[in-house]
Amino acid sequence: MACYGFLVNDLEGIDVDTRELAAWLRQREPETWWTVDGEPTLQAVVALPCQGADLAEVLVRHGHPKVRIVRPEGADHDTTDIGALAENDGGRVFLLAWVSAGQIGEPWELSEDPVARQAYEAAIAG
Amino acid sequence: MAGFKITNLDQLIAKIPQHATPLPPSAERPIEHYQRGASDARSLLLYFERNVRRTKVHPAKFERHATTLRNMVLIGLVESFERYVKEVAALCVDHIAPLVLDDRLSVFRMNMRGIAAQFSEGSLGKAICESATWLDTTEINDRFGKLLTDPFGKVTFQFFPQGKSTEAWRKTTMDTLFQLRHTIVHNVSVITRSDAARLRLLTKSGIEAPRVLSPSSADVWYVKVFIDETTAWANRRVAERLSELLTVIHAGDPGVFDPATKALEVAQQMGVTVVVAGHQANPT
Repeated sequence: MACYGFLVNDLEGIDVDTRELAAWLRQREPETWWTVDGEPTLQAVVALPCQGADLAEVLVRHGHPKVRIVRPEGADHDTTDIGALAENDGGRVFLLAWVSAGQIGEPWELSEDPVARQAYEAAIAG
Repeated sequence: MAGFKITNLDQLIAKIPQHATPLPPSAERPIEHYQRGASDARSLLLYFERNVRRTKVHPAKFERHATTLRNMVLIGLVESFERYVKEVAALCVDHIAPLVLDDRLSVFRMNMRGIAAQFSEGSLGKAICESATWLDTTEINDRFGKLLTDPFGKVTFQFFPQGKSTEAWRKTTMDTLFQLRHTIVHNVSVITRSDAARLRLLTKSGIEAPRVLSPSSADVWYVKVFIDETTAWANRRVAERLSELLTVIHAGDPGVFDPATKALEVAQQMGVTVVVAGHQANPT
């Protein structure tokens, strides 16, 4: 089954330390607005969407130690660049799944929230 | 209607309540239950907009359906808040009711059927609060004010502060959202002349009627940001006031409960740090 550019049945991708994903969000995308869909714990403990720096903290505190970043169709198989593993569809979308004791959990989405960014900019511009 | 007839619609509809899934673990803590519900509500909108953008659609038709969906999401956000208020009120009742002898619960209209239904679960709070409607800020203030009053004391706590409080804007803004919810739910999103009159008073701006309410995606996000912030703010204040009240009750009768245990319970349920009779507890 295809979902965006991901092959959901395969959930093929790279496994990274959750702290690495958090560091990417904190350092590379601190002010980007992100939302999470399909991960009940994260959705319960933080008001979403939130900015990258805030989400990074929540990921480290409430996430599992390892997360799989599912490789979108057409992405370079050798890449370890987290940013290159996002599907871009008017905003970047990552398909992720926790990795626990070698088992891959249910996939969930981490997506850029362009509506929040535009609405935020409009609000602060008065 | 010609061509077909379904003869067991009564049975098919009677089965709908059985089509249900278990509550998520976050349902045990009201603030987390709210955040999960509100997040899911808005995710629906983002999911729809993003996926439809990938297909060929007529812009006018897309906008018409998207408007309906935004109104539904707006209702979902307001209802998530209502559920939060209800759950946190039930939690307060369960902590306070066994410890006091005054008439504070008289502010609630008792529904005997609701009480009977909750009997096996042993939560007086749920029995009293679940069947009630919590969509009026004055009523919310009345109920929480009375519920969280010192024994035989005067009402000091306002869930939504009024008057000269720097937070008074929250009450008016929430009233506006409750009114918008009313418009969507009871008038199929049509701002009637009576809706407009009420909205004019609340927003202090001209509102035309009749008109169909058509919020933008940004509007929905602003609503979510407001309710997110207000829920977190209210959660801290209710936790603090509940802890103060428990401290007062404990001072009057130190044997009535173990303050360390009570503080831990409240911290866990509310998801914030509290102090009861000098005992601080943090949520895990």
